[in-house]
Amino acid sequence: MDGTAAPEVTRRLPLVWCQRRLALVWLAGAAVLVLLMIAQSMGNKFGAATSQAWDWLLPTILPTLSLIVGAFAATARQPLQQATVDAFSYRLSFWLSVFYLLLVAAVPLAQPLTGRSPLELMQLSKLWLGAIQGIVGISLGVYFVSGGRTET
Amino acid sequence: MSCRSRSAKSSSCDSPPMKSLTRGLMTAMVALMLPIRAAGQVSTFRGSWIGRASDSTISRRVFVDGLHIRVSQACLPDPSVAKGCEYEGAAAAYGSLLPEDSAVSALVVRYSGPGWNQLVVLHRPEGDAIEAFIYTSFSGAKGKRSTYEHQVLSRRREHAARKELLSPPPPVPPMPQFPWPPPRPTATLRLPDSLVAVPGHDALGAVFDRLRDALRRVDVGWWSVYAIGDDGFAVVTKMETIDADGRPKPGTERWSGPNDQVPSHFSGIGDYLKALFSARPGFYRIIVLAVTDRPSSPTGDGLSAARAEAFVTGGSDQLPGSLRGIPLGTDGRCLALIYEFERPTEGDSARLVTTAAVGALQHLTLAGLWTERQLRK
Repeated sequence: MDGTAAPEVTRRLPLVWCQRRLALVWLAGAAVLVLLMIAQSMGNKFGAATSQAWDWLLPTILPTLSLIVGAFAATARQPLQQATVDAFSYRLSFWLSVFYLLLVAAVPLAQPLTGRSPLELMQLSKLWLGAIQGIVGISLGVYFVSGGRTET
Repeated sequence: MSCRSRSAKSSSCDSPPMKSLTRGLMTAMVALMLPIRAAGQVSTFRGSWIGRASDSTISRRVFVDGLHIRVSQACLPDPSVAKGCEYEGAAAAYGSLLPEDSAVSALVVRYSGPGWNQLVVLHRPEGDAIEAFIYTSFSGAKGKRSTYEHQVLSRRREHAARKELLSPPPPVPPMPQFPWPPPRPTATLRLPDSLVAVPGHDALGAVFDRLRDALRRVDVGWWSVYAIGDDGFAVVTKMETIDADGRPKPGTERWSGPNDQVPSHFSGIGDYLKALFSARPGFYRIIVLAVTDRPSSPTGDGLSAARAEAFVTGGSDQLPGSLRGIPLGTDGRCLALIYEFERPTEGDSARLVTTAAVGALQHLTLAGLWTERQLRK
């Protein structure tokens, strides 16, 4: 390892900045997914199985979204925290979130190309989405539950 | 063993002098007739004829369709080993020596197998029966004697009527049965009699052959045959994926059912977006071509898509010999029953369409079975 790499490893980012970036990713991703599902529901894409389609979407995004929004609501009237977090940890959480949201979006977007029915594909996707959702949830907990390190 | 007279029900001649005598008699009988062009004059022979077994002749069914003769009997060369073989061939028609008599006097057909040879002469005297003179020689089997049989054959229906009086009804052929009266179809059409089934004239085998020719114009092996009782049959086609107007989907998509996973083909981004945001209904159909003289009054709630899909794997690929020879009754006809299914969205299951938007005639023509002109005759 050379001398220039060492500061990068120990680089730290403000916790609040990281929280807002992650919240933006999740809110934007969730908005796209919800709008897509609303459009499909209004187009009667799922027929009699519309509620089952929503039963698939909501558990995939709502727990994490509730965590993020809840954390912001809880700290809204508190003074701004000066805590920092490890930059690599933030980037890992960010890209894990992006990867997870893309996987969720890929289910309805790729369905017309697969030949499977929407519900069938949704049920199938639970196999991998459930596992990845757990990993993403743990990585986000650092920012929205533990409050991060107090080091400044 | 003695050689009985012609008036006897059957004869068997196997001593060398008698064998040569019977062979000579048969040769003379055929020689006394003249070969004629008889394609249109053999209607009196046409149909299915049955001869009973006796102490000196085996049971035999002879089916005559024009100059095509098919004989169902115990298998040769050793009838005791295997029962139920069919032999067939093109017959030669012979007329009388009398110049003023142009009628066909006899049909002669010859067929053979390894080590044996059988010559059948069918003679049509007055009355509703035919006489059969059967000469069987065994050239390859050492010590096996040639035989000569004379058998009187009666029409299948009369034979069955007589048999019913004397014995219990014959067992139902071991063939899957199509439910009759049929489940309520989406649309139905009686095919023109001249197209596939001439009532009171055709045997079921001939009708099946015509249907099979029409089905083969579309594809191979996309149908299944079921019996209707013991005197009719139904050909059930594989479930097709169609458009709302009855046109079959192109390529392999045509044969994908509502539960099959076939990726759709998109012509552009607009096509994809339409599939992404709106329901893609699916339309499916099966065609049942029922040949029977039984009354048809559809019953029940209709057919489920799953049961309709299973029809193509549940039947036979051929009409068995036991049904082929049965003549179609005077009330016989070929009914096309169309069962159309609709799956409103990909999340729904397919349901029978009860109100037909596309008529049975359009379904049959769009499926490629017949032209509209043929069906409107």
